[in-house]
Amino acid sequence: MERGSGMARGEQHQSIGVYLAVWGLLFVLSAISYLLDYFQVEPIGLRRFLITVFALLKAGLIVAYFMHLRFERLGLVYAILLPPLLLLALVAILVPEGRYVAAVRQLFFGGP
Amino acid sequence: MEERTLRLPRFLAYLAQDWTSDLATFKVVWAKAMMWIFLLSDTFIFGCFLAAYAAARLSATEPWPDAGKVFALHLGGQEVPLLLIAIMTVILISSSGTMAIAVYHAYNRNKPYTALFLGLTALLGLTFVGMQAYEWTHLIKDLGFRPWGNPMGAAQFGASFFMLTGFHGLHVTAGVIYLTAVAVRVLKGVYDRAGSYVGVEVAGLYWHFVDLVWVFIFAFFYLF
Repeated sequence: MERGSGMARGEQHQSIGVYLAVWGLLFVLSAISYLLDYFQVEPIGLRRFLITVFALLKAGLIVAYFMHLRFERLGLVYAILLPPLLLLALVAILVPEGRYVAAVRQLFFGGP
Repeated sequence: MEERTLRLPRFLAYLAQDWTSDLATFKVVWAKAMMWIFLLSDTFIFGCFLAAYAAARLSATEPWPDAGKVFALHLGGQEVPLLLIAIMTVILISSSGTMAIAVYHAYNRNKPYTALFLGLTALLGLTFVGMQAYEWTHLIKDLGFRPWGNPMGAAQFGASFFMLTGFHGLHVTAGVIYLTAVAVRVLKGVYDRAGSYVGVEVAGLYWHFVDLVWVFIFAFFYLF
C-alpha cells in the first residue's frame, strides 16, 4: 500500500475477529479488576498484585494488537518499549523516598 | 589481517541493521514514526505524574481518601463504589474497539464505514469527557475537593487527582477534535487522493494511547 516504505510488516492486518476478541478480553480483565475492588478481596497485597497484573495485560493487549506493535519492525518496537522501562528506575527511587519522607513526617510532625 | 565478523542472533542483526542505517532508522511512514515518538514523550509525562502520585501517596501521613467511597454513585438508595468510573472505563474501552474497527475499514478503503466508526469513537470520547466533567463538578462543588485539600483525608489526593485526570481529559478532548477532523477528511476523500489511509491509523495510535493511559489511571489511582 505504501510504496517503498517497508510497511509490509506493519500492514499485515489481522481479521476483524482478532480486534473483537481483544476488545472482549479488555472488558473481561477490567471487570475482574473492578470486582476485585468491589468485593475488597483480601489480603490487600494479593488484590493489588492482581490489579497490577491485569493492568499490564490490558496494556500489552492494546499495544500489541490495537496499536499493532506486534507487527512492526523490531527497530521500532525496541525504540518504543525500552525507554518506558527507565520509568521503573524512577519508581524504584521514589518508593523508598516516599516511605522515608513519610517516616520523617511521622517523627517530626506526629502523624495519626 | 583476520577479518572479524560479529555474529548476532538474527533478531539482533535486524535491529542493529535498522538502528545503524544510513538512511532511515524507522522503516515506517514518517507520520507513524513521529506519532510513536510523540506518544513516547507522552508516556514519560504520564509516567512521571503516576510516579509522583505514588510518592505523594506513600509519604502522606493522613489516611488516603478511599476512592471507592469518593467516586461512589447512589443507585436506589444503595451506594455502589466506583460505579461512574467503571462506566467511564467501559466507554473508553468501547471507543478503542470502534477505533480499531475504523482502522480496519480504512485499510479496506471503505470510506463510509471508516468515517462512521471514527465518528462513533469521537462520540464515545465526548461521552467520556462529559462524565469526567460531571465527576469534577461533583467533587469540587458537592464534596469540597480542592487541589490543596479535601475533607476526606490526605491533602495530596486533590493535587494528584486533578493533575492525572485533568491531563488525561485534555488528551481525550484533543483526541475527539482530532478524530472528528480525520473523519471529515475521510469523507472529503483526502486520503483517497493521497493514495493512503495511513492518517487514520496514526489517529488510531493516538486514541489507543489515551485508552492505554486510562488503564493505568484506573488501576493505580482508582482501584489501588
